[in-house]
Amino acid sequence: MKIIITALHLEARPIIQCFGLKKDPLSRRLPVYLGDDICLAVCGTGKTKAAAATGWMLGKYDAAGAGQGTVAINFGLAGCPNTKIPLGTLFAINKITDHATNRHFYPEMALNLSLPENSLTTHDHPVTKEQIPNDENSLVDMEGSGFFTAAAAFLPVPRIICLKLVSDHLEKAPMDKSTMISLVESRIKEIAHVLQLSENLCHEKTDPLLPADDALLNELAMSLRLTATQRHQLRDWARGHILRKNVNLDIIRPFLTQKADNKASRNRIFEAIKNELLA
Amino acid sequence: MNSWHNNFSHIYVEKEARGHGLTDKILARFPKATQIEVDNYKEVFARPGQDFPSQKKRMKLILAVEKGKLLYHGSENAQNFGLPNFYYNTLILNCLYNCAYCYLQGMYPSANIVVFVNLQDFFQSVQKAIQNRPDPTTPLYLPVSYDTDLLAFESIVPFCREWIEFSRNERDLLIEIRTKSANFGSLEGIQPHPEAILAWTLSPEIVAKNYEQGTPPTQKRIAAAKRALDAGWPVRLCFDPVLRFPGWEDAYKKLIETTFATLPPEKIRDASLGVFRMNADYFKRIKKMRTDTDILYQSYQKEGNIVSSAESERRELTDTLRGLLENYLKPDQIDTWT
Ligand code: SF4
Repeated sequence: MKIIITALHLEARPIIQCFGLKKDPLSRRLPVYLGDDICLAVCGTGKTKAAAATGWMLGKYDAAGAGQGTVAINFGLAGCPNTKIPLGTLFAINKITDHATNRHFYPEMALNLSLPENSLTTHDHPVTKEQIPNDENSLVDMEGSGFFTAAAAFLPVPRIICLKLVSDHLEKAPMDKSTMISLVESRIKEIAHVLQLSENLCHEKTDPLLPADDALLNELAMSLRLTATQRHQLRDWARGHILRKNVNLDIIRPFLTQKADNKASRNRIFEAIKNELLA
Repeated sequence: MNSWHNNFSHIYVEKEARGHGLTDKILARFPKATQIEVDNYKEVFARPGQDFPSQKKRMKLILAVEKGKLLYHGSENAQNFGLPNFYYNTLILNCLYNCAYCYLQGMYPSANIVVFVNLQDFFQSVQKAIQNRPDPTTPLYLPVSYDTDLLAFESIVPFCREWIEFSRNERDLLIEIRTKSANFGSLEGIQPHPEAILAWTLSPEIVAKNYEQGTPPTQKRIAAAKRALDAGWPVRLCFDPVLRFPGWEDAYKKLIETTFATLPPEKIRDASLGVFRMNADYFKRIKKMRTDTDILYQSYQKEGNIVSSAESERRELTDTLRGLLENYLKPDQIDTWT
């Protein structure tokens, strides 16, 4: 599942159209758009709104829990003090500084997204060129640090991606909406490519326990009414058994038919399972 | 196009590390790397939510200045060859290799590699410790490649060369550079120094192949040790960790025979021997992360805060190995951890 956080509708619109996302009618306070494996929220301007929306989205749509298979992506427009960088340049962000607290956050940069990289400073208020030091190259936005902090509370760092598209050079006069939309549209291919690549982040872990093994262990744990510690031990032994012997868990299947009437008989059966798995 | 970044695609540089000669050298070695400035290396290295096994596949480099401890007392879990003034330092955090049994996976929150560039500070701390060493009748014993593999890194950072030259000028200092690499070539041309021991960790080929990812095959390590011996270096052989697996006895017998078929035993300085053991907290942490290797799922026991094989098994392993080694070396040349 890819969870995308954008601040503005005009940032989200090309993505919604490209992936055919549908508005979630049940999400009233936060506009949310859903696709097969994409959830996009339009959180509004500012780091607090970005943090709240990110936390809420991850709590609600991170179906597998603990981030297994979930990636969080912040996409948005950003100002760039360096006028040599053309408008419409899409950056992968490798460092986020919260201007108010001077705290720094570092996305993992595991994937090669084939994008130029830059740092980003998140401000609490809109800023103009005059407020930025002359030698500053860092992009400027109002959401990045809020998004990152909230996402990092739910997901491992490698699953958090921040993309910023240069929309202005921090001039006072704001750019018109249609120009901004066309800037986003001009980069939709790259954004789609990042979403596709981000799938790789979800298939990194290898566990010898396959879903069928999980089901068997759960069934055993239920039928024997194992304690939490025993369940944990069972999984550990089972994993070791598969790794050491390169076999499946058939050897403990017969225990499914055994009944434990009391604690003592449960522990006896549990010990017998242990002996099989550790043999 | 590879969808993952390669090792060292990014180099995080602590502000204070800028201006150090080593920093410039390392950065020049990776001209295409993206440089990211950090206030303190721990902002990147110790941030929560990292994934050690995933980072290990695409390590980043962090250049930093060690402002904390520069020298540590040696651990009880490591052999000290009877030398009481046993210290170690950590010039690099983490390692280029990826051994399945390596405790660093449980010790550090990140697999990224930190290189401390303030070498002079490390030198000074050692000079001070030499002066204040508890037993002035024996030298200060300092394994400089204690929590890493320094020689594997030599073509990136010439730490081994620097420490050898440093030790040459210090009386009462004995250093050990322990490695699994075959990179003796990067030390060639340096005058051997009797107080700088080059130590090779040797494992049966099957162990190297299955559990020591990224390391050269044992034959190449032995060949590197041979070149070091021929050049006149003191060479130590380390059989550590000795692992128990089906066929372990034959595998270790073959390893020791092969080793001494190439290396003349009379030229070997000494050997160290130790079975697998690990701090229990690290072990627990690693098991949570690594579900891809059977080596963490053997019949280990916890004694105090150490996870290892049962005592009888440990004895069997070390006695067997000692017996094999004593065919070539004198008993007092072999230091054992059981
Ligand atoms: S060579 Fe040593 S330090 Fe490096 S990964 Fe292997 S065990 Fe760890």
